[in-house]
This record gives sequence, structure tokens and C-alpha cells, in this order.
Amino acid sequence: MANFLQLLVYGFQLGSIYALLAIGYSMVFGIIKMINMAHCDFLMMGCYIVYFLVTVVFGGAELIGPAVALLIILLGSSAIGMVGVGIERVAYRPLRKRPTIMCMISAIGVSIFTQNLFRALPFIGPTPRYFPVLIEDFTVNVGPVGISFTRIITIILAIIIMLILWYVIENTKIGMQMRAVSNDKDAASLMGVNINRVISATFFIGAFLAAVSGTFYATAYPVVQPTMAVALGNKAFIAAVVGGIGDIRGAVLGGFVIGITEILITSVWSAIAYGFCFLVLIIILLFKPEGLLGKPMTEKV
Amino acid sequence: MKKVFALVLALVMIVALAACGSGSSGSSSVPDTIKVGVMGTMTGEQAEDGKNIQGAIALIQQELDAAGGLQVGDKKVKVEFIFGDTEAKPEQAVNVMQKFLNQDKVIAVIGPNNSSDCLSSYEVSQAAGVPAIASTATNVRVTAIGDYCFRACFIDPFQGLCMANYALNECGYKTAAVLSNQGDAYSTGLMESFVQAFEAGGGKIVANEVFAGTDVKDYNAQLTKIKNANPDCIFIPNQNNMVINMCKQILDMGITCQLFGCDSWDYDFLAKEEVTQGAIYTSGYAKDITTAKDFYDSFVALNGFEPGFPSAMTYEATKILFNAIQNCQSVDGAALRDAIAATDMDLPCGHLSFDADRNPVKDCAIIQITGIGERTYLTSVSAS
Amino acid sequence: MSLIKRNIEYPIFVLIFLVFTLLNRFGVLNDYVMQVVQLACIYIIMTESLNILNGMTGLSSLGQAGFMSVGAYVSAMITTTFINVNAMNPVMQVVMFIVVTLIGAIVACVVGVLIGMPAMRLRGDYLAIVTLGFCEVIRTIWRVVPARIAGAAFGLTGIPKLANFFWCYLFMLLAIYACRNFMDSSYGRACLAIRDNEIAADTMGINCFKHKTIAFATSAFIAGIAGSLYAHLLVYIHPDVFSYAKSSDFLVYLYAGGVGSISGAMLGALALTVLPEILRFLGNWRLVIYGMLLLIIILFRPTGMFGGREFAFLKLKTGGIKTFHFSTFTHWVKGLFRRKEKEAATAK
Repeated sequence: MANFLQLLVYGFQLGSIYALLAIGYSMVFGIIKMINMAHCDFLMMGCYIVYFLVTVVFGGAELIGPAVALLIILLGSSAIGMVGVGIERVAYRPLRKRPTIMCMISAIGVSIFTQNLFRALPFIGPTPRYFPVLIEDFTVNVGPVGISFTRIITIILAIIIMLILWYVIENTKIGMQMRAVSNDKDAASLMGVNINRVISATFFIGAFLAAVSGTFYATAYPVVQPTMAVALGNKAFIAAVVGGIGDIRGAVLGGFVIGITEILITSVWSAIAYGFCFLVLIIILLFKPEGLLGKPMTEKV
Repeated sequence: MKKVFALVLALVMIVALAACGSGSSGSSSVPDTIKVGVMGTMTGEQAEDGKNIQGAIALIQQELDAAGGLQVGDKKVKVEFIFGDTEAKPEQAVNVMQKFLNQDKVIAVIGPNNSSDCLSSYEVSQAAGVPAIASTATNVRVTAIGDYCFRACFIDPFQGLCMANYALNECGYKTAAVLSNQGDAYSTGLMESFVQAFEAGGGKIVANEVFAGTDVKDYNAQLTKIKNANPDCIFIPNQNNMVINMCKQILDMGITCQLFGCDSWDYDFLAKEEVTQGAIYTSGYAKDITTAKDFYDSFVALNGFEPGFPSAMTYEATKILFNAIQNCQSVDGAALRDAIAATDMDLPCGHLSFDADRNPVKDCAIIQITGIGERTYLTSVSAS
Repeated sequence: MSLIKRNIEYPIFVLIFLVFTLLNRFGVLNDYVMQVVQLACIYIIMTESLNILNGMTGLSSLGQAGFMSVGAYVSAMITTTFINVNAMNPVMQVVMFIVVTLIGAIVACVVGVLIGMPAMRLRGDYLAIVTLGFCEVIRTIWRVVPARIAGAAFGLTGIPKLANFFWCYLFMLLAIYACRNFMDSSYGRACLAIRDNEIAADTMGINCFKHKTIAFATSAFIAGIAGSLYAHLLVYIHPDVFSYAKSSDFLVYLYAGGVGSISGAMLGALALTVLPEILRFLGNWRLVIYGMLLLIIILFRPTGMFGGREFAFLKLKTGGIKTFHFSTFTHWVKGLFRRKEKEAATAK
């Protein structure tokens, strides 16, 4: 029994990381109905920026305290947010009138470009780097189970971000504009909403969140490589769909569901764990095609 | 009009591929410039190998420049190295091999470093009669493809045997656990040979866990089972980019037993990490082997980072090839093949000769990571 | 004779084949070029199969690599593990090759129907994700099947090299003509109707379920043939070869060439298979430039390089480019606004 509880805890820890990244996928899809395949690369870029800021500018993680570390994370993530806005303007805005699958192809092109650019640049290079320890990790023992401190922070962070975003989208003006654009882009623009600004803001938030989640991901799995986030991106994307894409609460729920499923199946038959998660996705979608928390899409004739 | 344009575009592309195909077929005397193809994973997850391979070839080039060329008989021959990126995809490996054979007209191929890439591309080189020497591909089936396929490193059964014997005899461990990559031929093959050798020597494998491919980064579920089984040591035959994650998770879980690795641990950046301290692994190369000192010094002086197993093996494979060319004084495929098979020379990692299956008979070094960036050579296990 | 006169393209196909073979025999086109051309033929077949699902029926599918892997593994298992084809004389080898290709394609077809039937209820992007899931599930299955049978982590080695340029070219032509005939048939027209507006098609009496199943079956069958060719050309297959990345490759080929048109699929696959090889001189920067070129193609020519037009020799009576929407909801909204504008205009 204690074993099972410990596995559940591991599942929560893994799920929290999926949840953080899935929020970004969900937001972008909710607003412009497009699956951003390059979202995982924002995570990778966030990791690299924080890595370089800490090691090159500050000379290593031992010299900086938690406050400075937080500042670096926020600064780096804002930079990646701007990169996200830039990518949207260059690669996705011209294709807005086209079917959304063209944006998906464009995203695939962006993904190939950024991953290989980071690998080809000599000072970044292909060598896997060890992410500096920004938060001292220790294990909190609650009864028979041990939980890692950084993971507790990640779980709390995922929930806090979800609540903040929920508040922003429900109660602020920019949130209302986002909801309007996601409901009907053309009607919203007729009502005086600046579509370009709203979409840019969405990408900024999405990329910012991806970079922040990247920092926490790298604290848990400290190998930084240009291809580090591809598999994570796929899993987070499934998590967003399972929870109901377009809905932030769904993204968080889906993240935890996928994380727990993966850990539990790994302990039973680890060889099929990766494929089994996809099977879970398929079964959930077959019974509830919009995802667990999604709203059914009605088609009027 | 557009359709004609499109058709012309398609044909132009195919002709562009055919461009720059230069002349000579294999001649029996040595031309003034010989071309050697070097294949490896320059991009993708194992791009670190590509960096090591390029560093080794740079060292070879430096030695050649200092000597004015390769001395074959009574003339000096210029050697041109052509790099090919396999991206760790077997299909790309075949394309690169075809390009080497048909467009660049190389006389021999060094690499690939990946067993999967070798298995697909060596069919082509075997059919074409061009010798190929794999640098770090340790899977048994690579040389079984044909008599033009060689390798410069030891094979997985030998490596697994060495590690198992060391654990049983030198360290006195009775129980072991294994965590291997179920999607990787190298990892699975090494796991099988270690398990076989360990159990044949009287030990007991208490936990044999797998994970489903390089996409998995979280091993906590498997490690929980391993921890519950309480082994004396854990064997981790995985690629370099996964090792750091595994070691960190092992430490976080409070497992303190001895870690054993394999030749994919032999990189300088791995030894610099805190989480890998104390681990013992097998490799074909160790910097403290007396004969490897010169190689180590010149490599660091030229490239700025310490060499690892891939760099050493690429260096040795090229040396084997040069030795064969000098012995048979020809670039003909069949003559080179016979000369390579008859190799009996001293290399930085020790003495090397080939057995009947075209696998080298050489020693296996055991290395321990004893400090940040320090890889200490413990002992060698000879092949006999 | 009148058959030749009406279909002037038949002798031209034979001529192209002879030109390639003779140029190869006389050393002008070396084996490297032929390898890339054969690979391009296989990818053309795969992109055509994706075109049936995506371009003609509007079902976005990221699972083509899964069908390809079924065809590849089934045919390779028969020729390598179960029957030793290398020991047979050449005539029997050719017969065996055709037989195993057909068997592989039929098994892939069955898998395609099994996957398609439950997945058809989903729309647009969800269907893409479910097919992606099935592709990964199939890959996991090939990893778990014992190594004695299908190679598992070691991959399947020693497949007899039964595919050559003749077979690749022949199957490519057959696939193109199969797609052409499919598009011109009643099935094809029903599929085009489903793509444009599924509810309207349903209202007009088209059995959507039956036609979508037919589309899945045909697409999987053609993909299975391509898989068998691939296995017998590269003589080594590994489960990781048929991953999601390969599926998205085919999607890119299709859209870069021009979705919905058979010629577009052909050109997209040919161009984007040959392009990375031409760019090899760039060394480390090869894939960076490839990504950039891909972006340029999509951004500056969103209808694809060929713009949705067809070659004349295909003599298609239906088809041609239509931008189609995954979500008929947005289509309806656009229509609503157009009507409102017209009403507003007439009211003035």
C-alpha cells in the first residue's frame, strides 16, 4: 500500500510538469484553434536562457540567492515570451486566413529550425549541459512516502498559475477579449477588439509559461539539450487534449491524469508505458470526444 | 505552363543530385589523393558523439599535415576526409553510405558509431565491396553482415562479461539490478550479456527493469522496484544523455549502492557531474593506459576537451585503415579487406588483432569516476 | 494503337523508366541517385495515401507511419523469419515479393479499418491526435513482440533485397492511378462531398460512415504497399523508424506540394525527399536551412508548390483545389456573415 501511495506521489510530480506545459498548448488552441507544435521549443529555449544567465553572467548558481534566481527566471521567461510573439508574427500571422493545419505545418518548420539552430551554434552546441541547481532540493517524508520539495513547489505553482489565469480570463478586460476572440474571431474584431494584440498577448503568456515550466522541468531532470523537450511536448499535448483542449482547468487535470497513468503502468509493465498513455487518450476521446472537461462542439446546419 | 515548369523542376532536382560525380573506379595502385568517408551522428540526441568523432579526425589531420601526408611505399599520399551525418536514422545512414560510395568514391568508410545505422548501411558497403570499420558499434550482428565489415571496438558480450566478472570477483557482489532501454539495440544487447554472465558466475539478478525508449525521462517507478529489491549494485547500460537523469534520480531516492556503466559513459562532461561520482564503467579507452598518454595530450591540446571512447575508437579505426593501406600498398577493396583482417598492431588502447569474425581482440579497461572530471583507470581485462 | 494515341503518357512512362535505367547502367546516374529516387517513389506512394484521407476526405491523419510499419513488418517477417526467401530461385523470389507485399497491404488495410471505425466520430484536430496515438501504439506493439519474430529493439535484419527501381516505379504509377480512379469514381466524389461539408453530404443521402471507412481502407492499403517496398529496399527496419516524426514528414510533403491534388502530393514528396540530400554540402547547418526553406514554402505559397492543379495526363474530371475547413462551424459563421452583408446591402 505504501508503495502504491509512493507511486501516486511520483505520478503527481510528473503530472505537474505536464500540466504546466499543457496550459500553454490549451491557451493557444483556445484562442486561434491551432496546435502549436513548436511550443516545446519555447521550453527548451527557456532552459538555455536561464542556464546561460546563471552560468555566464552570474558565474554559477552558488553565488546567487533565491531572490536573484527568481528574477533571472522571470527575466529569461519574459525574453522567451517576446520570442514567442516574434515567432507568431513571422510564422503564424500570415496564415491566419488559411485552414489551421497550415499553421501546424508552419509550426513543424519552426520546430525543426530552432532545434537545429541551437544544435549548430557552436557556443550552445550539442553537448548536454547540466542545469544549475537553483533550488536546494530535499525530501519531505509524510508517513511512508517521500515527496521532493521542488516537486511540491511545481505542483503548487501549476495550481497557482491555473488560478491566476482563470481569474485573468474571467474577470479582466484582456481576458474578456480573449474569450471573445476564441468564441468568434470575426465577430470580435467587428466589436472593436484588436485581434493582433490579443493573439500576441496569448502567445506571450504561453511562451512565458513554457519557459517557467522549463526551469522547473530542468530542476527535476537536469539535462539540457536541444532535443530535450520533444517527448515532453507530445505528452503535454496529449494531456491538454485529454483534459479538454481550450480549457485551462482541463489542461491541469489532463496533466495529472496522464502523469499518474504513466507512472502506474510503468510499475506494472514498463515496456508498454509510453504506448499505453496513447491508448488511454484514445479510449477517453472515444467515450468523450471533447476531452474530460471540454464542451461539446455543436454544429449548426 | 505551370505544369511544364513543375516537371522541369522535378527533373532538374534529380540531375542536381547526379552532379559532381567524379571519375575513377578502384585502381590497384594508390592515387595521390585518397578519400575516406567518416559517418556518425552529427545531429540529434547523440550529437555529442559527432563532436568527439570530428575531434579525433582533426587530430589525425594534424598528424598527417605534420608528416606531409600518409607514407605509402615511397610516396606521400594526401588523405581527404568526408563527413556524413546519419542523424541516428538507419535510412539516412544508407543514403550517406550510397553518397560516399557513388558520389564521393571513397575507398573505405569509418563509422557509423551507432549499431542500428551500421546494420542498415553495411549491407550497401558489403555489396559494393568497400571495407568499413565501425567505431563504437558494439552489437554482434554488425560484423556478421559480411567480410568487408570490421569494427574497432569490443563487442557487447565481451563487455557485459567483463563488467559482470568485475562485479562478482573484484567487488564481491552477489546481487545486481539492471535498468536498460527497451527500445535501443545497444542497451538491450548489453543487458542480456550482463545478465547471462552474472548468473553464470553465481550471482543473482534481483531486478531487471526496462523503460520504453529515449522519450522516457522519469524512472522513479522502476527505481522504486529496484530499491525494494535491495541489490548490491546497479548496472546502467544507457546512452550518455540519459545517464545524468538516472543517476540524479537514483541519488534522490536514497539508493547508495555501487553503479556500473558501460562504454557509453566515457565522455568528459559526464565525469564532471556530481551525480555520477563513484561509478565504475567499462571502456575500450582510458587515458591512464601508458600507451594512450600521447593520444590524450595531443587531443586535449588540439581540441580543448578530453577524449572519450568514440574519439579513441575513431582514431584507432583510422589508424587501422592507414596501416592496412601501407601494408598492401593498394586501394582495391579486396586487398584492403585482407590487409585489415591481417592487422596486428599496437594502438593507444593496447595491442589489436582481428579474430575470425572480424572483431578485435583487445583489452577492456575498467574506469572509475573518482572526482569532478577525473576518470581513474583501475585495471584491464584481457580478451583471452 | 488507338489506346496509345489516346493515352500518350503510357509510352512516356516507359520511356522515363528506360532513361533512368540506362543512365544508371552507363554510370551517368550513380547508385546514390537511384537510392534517393527509389526512396522518393516510396514516399510519393505514402503521400498519395495521405492525400486520400486528408486531401480528398478531409480527415486529418497523423498515423500513416503506423500503416506503413504494419505493411513493412508483416511482409518482412514472412520473408525473413518464417520463410527463407534467399534460398529460392529468382522467379520464385519475384512471386514471393508480390505475394508478401499484397499480404502486408491487406493486413494494413484491416488495421486501417479497425482504427478508422471508432475514430470517425471525431472531428478535425481530435482525429489527428487519435491517429497519432494509434501510430505510437502500433510502434509499442512492434517493440514488445519477441525479438526472435520481429526483432524488437534490435530491428529486423537480413531482409532480402527484393525491391528495385522497377518495383518502386511500377507501384508508384499504380498508386497514382489508383488514387486518380478513386477520385473520379462515385466513392471519390462522395469523399469530396464529405470533405466540403459533411452535414450537407449526409443530408444528400451519402453514407458517411461507409465512405470514410472506404477511405481509411484504401489509404491503409496503399500505405502497406509502400511499407513493404521500404522494408525490402532498406533491408533493415526498426520500430523507431516509424514514429510520429515520419507521419508529420508526410503531412509536410503533402501540404508543401499542394493538398487535395494528386500531382501536388507527388511533387511535394519528390522535392522534399531530394532537398535534404542536395543540402548535404551545408554540413552542420543542413537541417537549419531545411527548416527555413520549409517555412518559406509554406508562408509564401500556402496553396502548395503546385497550387492544387493537376497534371493533364491524369485526366481528372473532378477535384482541384478547394481550401477546406476542419471545423464546419467556422465555415458556417463565414457564410452567415456573407449573407448578413448581402442583406444589409440590399436593405439600403
